[in-house]
Amino acid sequence: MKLAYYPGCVARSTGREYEISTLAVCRALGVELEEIDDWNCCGATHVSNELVSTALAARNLVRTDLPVMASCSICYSRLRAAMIRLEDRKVREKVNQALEKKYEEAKEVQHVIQTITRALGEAEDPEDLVVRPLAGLKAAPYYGCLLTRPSGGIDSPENPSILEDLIRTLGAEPTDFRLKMKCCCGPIFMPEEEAAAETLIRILRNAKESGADFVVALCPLCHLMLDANQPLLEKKFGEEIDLPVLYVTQMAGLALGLAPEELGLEMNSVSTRPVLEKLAAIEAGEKAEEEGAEVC
Amino acid sequence: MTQIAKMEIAKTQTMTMETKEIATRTRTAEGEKFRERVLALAGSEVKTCIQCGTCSASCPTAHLMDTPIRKLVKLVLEGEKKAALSSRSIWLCTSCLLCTIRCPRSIRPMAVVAALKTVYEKEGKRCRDSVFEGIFGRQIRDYGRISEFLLSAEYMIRSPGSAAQIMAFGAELVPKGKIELGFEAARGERIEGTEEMRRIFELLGDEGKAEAEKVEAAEAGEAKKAGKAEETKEAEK
Repeated sequence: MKLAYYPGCVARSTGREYEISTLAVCRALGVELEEIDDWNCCGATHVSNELVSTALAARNLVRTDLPVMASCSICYSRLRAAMIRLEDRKVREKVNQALEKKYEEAKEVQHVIQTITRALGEAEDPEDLVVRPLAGLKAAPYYGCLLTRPSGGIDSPENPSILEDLIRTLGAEPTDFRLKMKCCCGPIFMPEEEAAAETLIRILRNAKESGADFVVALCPLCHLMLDANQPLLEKKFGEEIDLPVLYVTQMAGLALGLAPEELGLEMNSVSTRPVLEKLAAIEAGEKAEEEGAEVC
Repeated sequence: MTQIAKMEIAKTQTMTMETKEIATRTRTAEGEKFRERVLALAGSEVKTCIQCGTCSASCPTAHLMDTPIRKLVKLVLEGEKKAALSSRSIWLCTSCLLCTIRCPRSIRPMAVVAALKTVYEKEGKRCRDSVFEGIFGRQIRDYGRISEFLLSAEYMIRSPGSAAQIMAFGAELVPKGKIELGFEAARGERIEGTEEMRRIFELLGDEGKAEAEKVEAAEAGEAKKAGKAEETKEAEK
């Protein structure tokens, strides 16, 4: 499978480990990626003029003939939203006035979670790929808001299950995480820190209460808010959270047998070591059990 | 029932009165222009709003807002420009789209908020949130991509109150190699197609304004018929 890769700006800054693990996982799954030439920022949630943001997305879409893959939920949502707007002939005409290469037709756009899910689904025996099942680990599936919105995308916009399904396929157990769809408030974090902090601490507490060993994130902004921001939130609210937040690609990479350094796991703010140690301990326990059984 | 839902019900009870008010109150010329401008940006289906409050009840930041999203839509339809633009609510929207996927009238309340931000910025109004958006947009226009370093540095200069927060984040991210300090590294990210970027912003950025100017021109035409042109001529003399 060959896909056009749209990294998005965050892949080159605060979300470096997302890009590292995305590339590693796609390689392991036999998915070939070709980075879109001279791609531009999608505008995220900060370009309020809709024609401008639609044109920003369209310029990226016309730069390839391949289906497009994005790993950032905001980029992914922006590309999809733009394609919906571009169904309107008038919008298309206006946008094309500004574009060098014209937007003619809709493209297939997928989020990296779809790419992984599909590759595992299409494999003759997924167990050949999942060489290190994450058995015994509990993961809080954090969707955030934009992966499934606007409607008509990969899953239900209100109660999706694609992430829980993937967690199970990889051998781990998804926890019952009530706030899994609660917006992280990342888009207003810069100017409205107080407002965002209150929501973030609720999400983290809820994830912790669900019994998770770690949270799974699908969006670099969610990740930034829950991971890099976590020490600051702990200080602000005077409580210990200490909950690792793994990108979906980091979690998948572990199950595919990739080494932690191939997945940028040392770049996360909250140490991911407890997750690796627990996994190793469970594996050691299983091995001992097997050996014990053999002795008997 | 959540606090927000209760609040919404209480508001619905007083709403019949408010609806009567819309019918009897006539919009000012400026209010009309504002209404048309927002409708041109956010979609004419906004007119079909039944004020059910699903948007406000779904909003993750509703508890922080001075004006619920439902009310913002109403203010737009009434042409209450000043009240709509001065509400802090438009800057508390996280663009999560929950209102939009739930609206029973297929209106996109988030698009109404985005339209209000656009009008706010075009009118030359400023607040810390619009400053942030402005920096973000200009950086895309000039570089094609966002550099976390440039974004933070410029926002910190323009909004010094944010310095502590940005520094704390920087202390977390810089040692991890996630943010490269320095203008050179940031400029290295500049794309080839900056000419095209500029065209996107210049050609399409003023679209909503152009629509509104059409309304204005039509109004001016009517004013002429009413004989007001005479007055203008005299004023010119």
